[in-house]
Amino acid sequence: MRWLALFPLGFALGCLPGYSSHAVNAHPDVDARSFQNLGCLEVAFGLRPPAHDTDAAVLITRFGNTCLHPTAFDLRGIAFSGVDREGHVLPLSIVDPRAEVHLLHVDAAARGIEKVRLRAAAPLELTAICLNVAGISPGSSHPPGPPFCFRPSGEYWEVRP
Amino acid sequence: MKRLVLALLVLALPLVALPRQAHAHSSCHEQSDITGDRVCSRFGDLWSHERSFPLTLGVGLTSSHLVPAARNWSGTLGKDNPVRFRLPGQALGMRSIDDVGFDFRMSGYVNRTLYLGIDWGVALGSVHPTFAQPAEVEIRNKSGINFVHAKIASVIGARLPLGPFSARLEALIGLQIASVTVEGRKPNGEWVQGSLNNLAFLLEPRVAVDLWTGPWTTMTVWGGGNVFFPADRSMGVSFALHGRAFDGRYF
Repeated sequence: MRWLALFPLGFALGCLPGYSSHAVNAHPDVDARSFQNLGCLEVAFGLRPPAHDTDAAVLITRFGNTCLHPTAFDLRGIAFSGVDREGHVLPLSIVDPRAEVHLLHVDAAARGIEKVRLRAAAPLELTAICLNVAGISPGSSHPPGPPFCFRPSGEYWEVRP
Repeated sequence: MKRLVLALLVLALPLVALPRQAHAHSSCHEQSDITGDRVCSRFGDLWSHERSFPLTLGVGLTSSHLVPAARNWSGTLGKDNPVRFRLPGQALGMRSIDDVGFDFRMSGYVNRTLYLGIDWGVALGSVHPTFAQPAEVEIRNKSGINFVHAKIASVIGARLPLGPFSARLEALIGLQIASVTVEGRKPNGEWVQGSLNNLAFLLEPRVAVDLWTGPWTTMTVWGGGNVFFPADRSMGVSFALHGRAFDGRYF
């Protein structure tokens, strides 16, 4: 019965706080240089090696809603491109076998993390993966930052010009 | 006493059932944390407005003020060959009974304003009736915690969001049981334990004010009356966990 006493006390103190601005950067699995403020939506990205041989990478997206109402979030609104050793630019797409990645709304003050697979039309060794996040939060009046690119750095990928 | 145990079991049933359901749900073994490879959850399950459920689970402290004179009580003495009798409310010789207890609630929004749910609670008290004796038996007060008041009701209500506060108007429709433990002398002279019970319909309008202590947590103060027993009152403080931030609307 001890939990019963802790339950009201914890609730009175607000034991489940909402998202606070820039909190997405506190996680080492995303690169703080990828941070984007899109009005209500804040988002930061990280890349890690692919889990499947046919994929280019796994994209880690951390995001939070700084507003007191839901805000739009659409990973399909990001334009992904890869650059191979010859400098050819080719589009990357999200691997979504269950067609579950589409426009949703981040609940008020909520935070989230999603990891998706990125794949090129043909398996290639990439020297950069670039993101243009202009369409990630449809309806946002806040202008997105410019496109940015992740480049390999040892086992990791990091945002570099 | 048997009725009391039965009432408590009915009240506790949802508490027992909920963890079992949760356990059954957790039997899925996740294969990966990557969308497409995950088998137990979908993209957006933990953060999206669309895939959150506007459910509310609450627990609280309540206090009720009952007027026993407005009720007719049925009495039972003993377990073997129990003696049954009736007692008018005035025969308890008490103006009011006050109790304190817990209540629990599960509710969900059917649209942005209206919600439905179930509320159940149990409260205890210590009463000191001065009985006007019934004709059939002699009864006397039993000291200690000798009063139990249980409610189970469906809830319908509406919420007006006011930023950090919400105002709610709701009605509880259900049953309430009030039971006073007594001692009584059967016709053979034996003193045995018994009870005076009142089972009644409950139609309780309530006014509540919520304070959002976090996006998914509220602290509420509420007060209500009883349409069938207008002199009855109840009030309480409750704490709730909400499945959807600010129940979907802050203003």
